Amino acid sequence: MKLRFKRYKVIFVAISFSFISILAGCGFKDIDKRVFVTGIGVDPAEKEDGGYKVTLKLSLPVASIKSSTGPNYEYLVHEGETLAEAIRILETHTDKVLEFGHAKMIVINEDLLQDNVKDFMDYFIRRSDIQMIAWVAAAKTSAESILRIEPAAESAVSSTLINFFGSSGTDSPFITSTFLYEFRRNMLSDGIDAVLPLIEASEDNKELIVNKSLVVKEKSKPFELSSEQSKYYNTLLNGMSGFSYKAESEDLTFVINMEKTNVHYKILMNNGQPTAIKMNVKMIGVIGQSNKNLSLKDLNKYDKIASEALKKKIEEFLTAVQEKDLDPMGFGLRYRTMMLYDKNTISEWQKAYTTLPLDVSVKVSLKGTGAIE
Amino acid sequence: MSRFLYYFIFLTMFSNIIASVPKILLFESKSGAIPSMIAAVIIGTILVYIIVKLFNSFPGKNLPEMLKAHTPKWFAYPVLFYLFLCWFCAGLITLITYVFLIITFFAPETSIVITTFAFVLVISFGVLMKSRSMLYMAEIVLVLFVPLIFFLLIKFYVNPKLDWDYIKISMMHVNHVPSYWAFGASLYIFVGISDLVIFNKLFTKKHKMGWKQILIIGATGAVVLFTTFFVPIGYNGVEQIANLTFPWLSTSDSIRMKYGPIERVIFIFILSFLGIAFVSLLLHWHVALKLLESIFEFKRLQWKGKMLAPYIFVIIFGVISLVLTRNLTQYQLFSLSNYFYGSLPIFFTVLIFSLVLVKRRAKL
Repeated sequence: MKLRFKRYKVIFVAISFSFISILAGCGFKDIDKRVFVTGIGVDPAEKEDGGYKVTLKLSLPVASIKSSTGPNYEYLVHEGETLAEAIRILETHTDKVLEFGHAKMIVINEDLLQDNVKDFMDYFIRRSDIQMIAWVAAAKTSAESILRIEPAAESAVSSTLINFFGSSGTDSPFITSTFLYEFRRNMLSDGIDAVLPLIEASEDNKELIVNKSLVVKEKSKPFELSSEQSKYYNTLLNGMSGFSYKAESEDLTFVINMEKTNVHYKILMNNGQPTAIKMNVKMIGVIGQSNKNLSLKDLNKYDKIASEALKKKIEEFLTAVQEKDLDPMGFGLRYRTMMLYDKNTISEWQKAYTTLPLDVSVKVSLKGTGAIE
Repeated sequence: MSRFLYYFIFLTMFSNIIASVPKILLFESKSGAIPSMIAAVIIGTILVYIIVKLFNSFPGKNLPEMLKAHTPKWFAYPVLFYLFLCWFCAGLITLITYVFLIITFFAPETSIVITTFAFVLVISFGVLMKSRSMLYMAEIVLVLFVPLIFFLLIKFYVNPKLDWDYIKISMMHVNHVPSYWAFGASLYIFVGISDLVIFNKLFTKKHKMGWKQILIIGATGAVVLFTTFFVPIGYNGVEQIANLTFPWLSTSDSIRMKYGPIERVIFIFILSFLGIAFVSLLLHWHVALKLLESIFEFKRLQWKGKMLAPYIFVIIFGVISLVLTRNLTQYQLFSLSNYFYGSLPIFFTVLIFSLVLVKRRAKL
């Protein structure tokens, strides 16, 4: 009896295994039938009105990292009325499947950021294989030309463009990094405006430069933040650290290396109406360069000078965006958190925002003067 | 309280993120989801307390035995069948949602039938296991996946990109009338305890149910609901949150592990919740199967001393889920789960009422 039972088991296993041979292969396509899209560029179409020109940067596989001299790319460009159409046609321009799962860079021509951002962003969000942690950036002149730049310092199996963002490669307070989900969130919310890094090409078209940003607001021309303003934006919002915060007083000039920034802000209210924006900034750093000899015991004096200088800079930045009715910091959001939901909250805020007085207080604590006095 | 009771509760709590609960709650985010969640945490904890207390009077017995012994047939069988339907739907919704999610995010090129079939095949073996093995399996899976899930949740909370301003704004919607559907959806996280209907057979000792236990269950429920509802809002904003089909999947894709083995957290997220949802699904369907067996006892359907009925039932389960995944649209799934969650207050009423009735009849 027991033996017979065992035989059934053997037969069962044999049948199960014979089923495997019927399987014609999995639903996946093999990796050599795929080509990886590392960057997507969107420009306005040249031929037709309202269309888009899509550029895909394809990363070509190398046999071995050691023997390859640099990365190999292929570019696919096509125009279409919508993004999806253009990409569908581009799929016929290559023999392999376009794999978007590794697309980490979405570059958008700055001219496109004026109206219908929602229209083409929809495509990126709807496609589930494009990651929400892809970087979004604006491109000066054209997204295609930015994607096509292959800097000499670029090594195989890497992408210069991606290393700029997220502090994984270069780390600088001038560079704004914006994720796709973050851009969408801030773009579609009332009370905050999205900020994108602006990528430019060097004059000889060989290097990429990222140190400016764009504040994007629907139905208005994007406002360009200069590199100085981008730095203060990043410092205030993301607590980015780094060099080149300059302080001047009479004949003394020094540059501070900021290590840590803490920002707290709130909206002061009176009878439910916003009356002022109060911002407290605390910074810790050391002096990086000076035009004169410094003495350690005068640190408190330098603190004061630096606080004054930074306060002025921060106020300048905040008023510059405020005058344009832009809110990259999200003061409007903070205002909305302070009262129970009401339909009129946001319109009241928008009415009041441009003329709201700013009250910034900066406290710099310098820890030292570096290796020399 | 036996540690296995906590497993029942916690498994359903964690798996709610994968089911349609967040979608329904966020759909109502501007109209009364928050008061509903508060109400659900309080009422749900009380329900858990009542159910455990009632089962304490019948150590080592399951509900079908109790009902059959102490109530008339016309009462016992419809109640059992209704309970079976609820458990079957609970499992079915988890299964279909998960298949849709895998199709959308993981393997868009694989056919939906093959994905469902793979799931059904594995689940069938699991459902047919002994009740006791089921408990041990739940323990192993929890021990394996809960640390991973905790790690991921910490990642979600400590990320500086999680904007608390959005969360606070959505909290400002507290001044609404509670919504019934959101209440039902939040009540789902407390459903796990009713697995006792079958599993009570294995517990011969009385469960201790004091303040400490109530506090643990209530607090965990509150934290789970808070996370379910507010974390996606913190990552995706208040205005557009209702538009996301899989709010939690999009949220998990917003997390980046810069130096992790995999940069996109979404894949680790799907896999770890696969484990949790899987066991929760197995428990639900195991209970459903046992209830069905107690209703239809085909004594003649035997082969070499083995009952064939459970195998037939499992095949029917599988066929139903295959047909449904093929034909349901996402909207239909959404409304199906909405109605199912909406029926949960009735489910709890029926369960508690029949338990009270049995207790009275048995004169305990």
